Amino acid sequence: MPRLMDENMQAGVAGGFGFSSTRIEKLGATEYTLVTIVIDWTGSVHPFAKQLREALILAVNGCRKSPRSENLLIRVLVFSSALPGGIMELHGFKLLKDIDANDYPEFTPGGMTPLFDAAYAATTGTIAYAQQLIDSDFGVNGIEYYLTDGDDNVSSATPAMIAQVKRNAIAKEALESLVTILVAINAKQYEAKLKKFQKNAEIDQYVDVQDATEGRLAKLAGFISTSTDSQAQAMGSGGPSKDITSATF
Amino acid sequence: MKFCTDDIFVMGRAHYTSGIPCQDYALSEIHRDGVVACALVSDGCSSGNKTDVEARLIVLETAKTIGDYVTAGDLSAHAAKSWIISQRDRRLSNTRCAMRLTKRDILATCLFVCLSDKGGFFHVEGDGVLIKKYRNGHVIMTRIDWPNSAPFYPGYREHGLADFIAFHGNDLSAPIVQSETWTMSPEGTCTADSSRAYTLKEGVEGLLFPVTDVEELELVGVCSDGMTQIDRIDWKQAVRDLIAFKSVAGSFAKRRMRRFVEDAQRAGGRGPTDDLSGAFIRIEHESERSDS
Repeated sequence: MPRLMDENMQAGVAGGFGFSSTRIEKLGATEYTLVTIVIDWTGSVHPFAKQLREALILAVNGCRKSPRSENLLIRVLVFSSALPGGIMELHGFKLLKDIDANDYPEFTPGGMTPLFDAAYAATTGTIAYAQQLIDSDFGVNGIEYYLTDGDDNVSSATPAMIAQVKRNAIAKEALESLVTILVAINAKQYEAKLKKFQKNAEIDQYVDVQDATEGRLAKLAGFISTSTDSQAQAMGSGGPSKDITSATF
Repeated sequence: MKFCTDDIFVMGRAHYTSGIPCQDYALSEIHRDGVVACALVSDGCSSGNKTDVEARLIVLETAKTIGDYVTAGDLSAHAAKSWIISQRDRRLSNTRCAMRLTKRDILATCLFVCLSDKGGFFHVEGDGVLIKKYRNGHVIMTRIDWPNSAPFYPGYREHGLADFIAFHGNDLSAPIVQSETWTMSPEGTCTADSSRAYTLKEGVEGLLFPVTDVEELELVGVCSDGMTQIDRIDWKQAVRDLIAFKSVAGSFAKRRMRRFVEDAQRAGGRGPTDDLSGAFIRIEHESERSDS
């Protein structure tokens, strides 16, 4: 049964993946930062699924403290081979005022890891929406977080595709800048493969949360909201935020 | 009928490079729960002193006075103009005195448009550009210029009016204030409509342009003369580009101006040479709102 679309939202397709976003005519500011949080929903995160959800809530609510909070549009994706198409939007690009973080569903992880597909879906969605905003005279930049506890094992997309789509977007000035961050949680054994993914997909930063304890995930939430604020404040500078907080966990 | 307003002012390259503050100011407001809207701009004299302060004061005081008037009466042009300008000048004189502004500080133009569903008017003290865009896509734009880059400033009514009149030849009946009006078709073709010279006396009293066809209008706006000083872009083209709003929610004018300046610079020009300000009232008609 199709999901009923909030009348403030519109549906689109990018890179073969659907995405939803706030209708342009509902946006009143001059510029926006598109924030995408991509979360591993595979079987291996089951032991800390509750803490992961709480970290998401903390991260989103932390963004409300930013002086640029009204200029953020946030999208949350989860990925797992158990999901239809491997990717599911918890919600599309929405203003903070339209998000009640307490509405995030209980996490029910399972399945294998379409990490590359998820990053590709995130980036193509960001770029497609950014282009619409740019075409309507908005200023746009973006930041994406890929949270995973394991390496990819089922994707169709490749790291090279992710890198290419981002390079093309920057060259075409589809948005002012796009910062991408790969966050490893409880993934020490996959560090080499994840760093290879980072390199091949030209992801800007690799952050290792180490163990998925409540404290570390809470720190991750703080990192996400601080980095998001930093990128939002970099708007208009012509480049990405230079001082994404280096995270130690 | 619903009014939506927005305004924007940006620093011109000349001031940016010389360290002079932006001397333009713009403001737009809606009064009486949406019954009346006004849009105002002011441009301070570059060779004056704290004229950026005067630009802000005169716009704020004029907007406040318009708001006060609309609770007292309707916008019949002549009566409204007389009341608004005299009240504003009286209050502004007190404010200037309190802020210890000197005669070299109080040199700034003031252009505004105010509208209700029954009509309204443009008022010009100084120079600049007036814009009316119709629902059929036609745009009428009027440019007002003073000779020798010496426009009238309302502050002269307080200090220096005799000197100003003498500077312009001491003949109040001399037709020295030039206006040229152009019509732009929806396709972008510009046709000269009319040109007219107003007398020095009319310029000093303030030029009044009634608006009686609100039902036919989509947008009205006022801009400072910075609109006529955009590197490599004719002022009529600049008007066309600046009112080509891609989206109309919230800060519609700020978005367009930002992109307009970026595009002007990207096209190899330097963008606005002088400070540039614009204030706009969009008119949403009932039939359009029910269709959307």
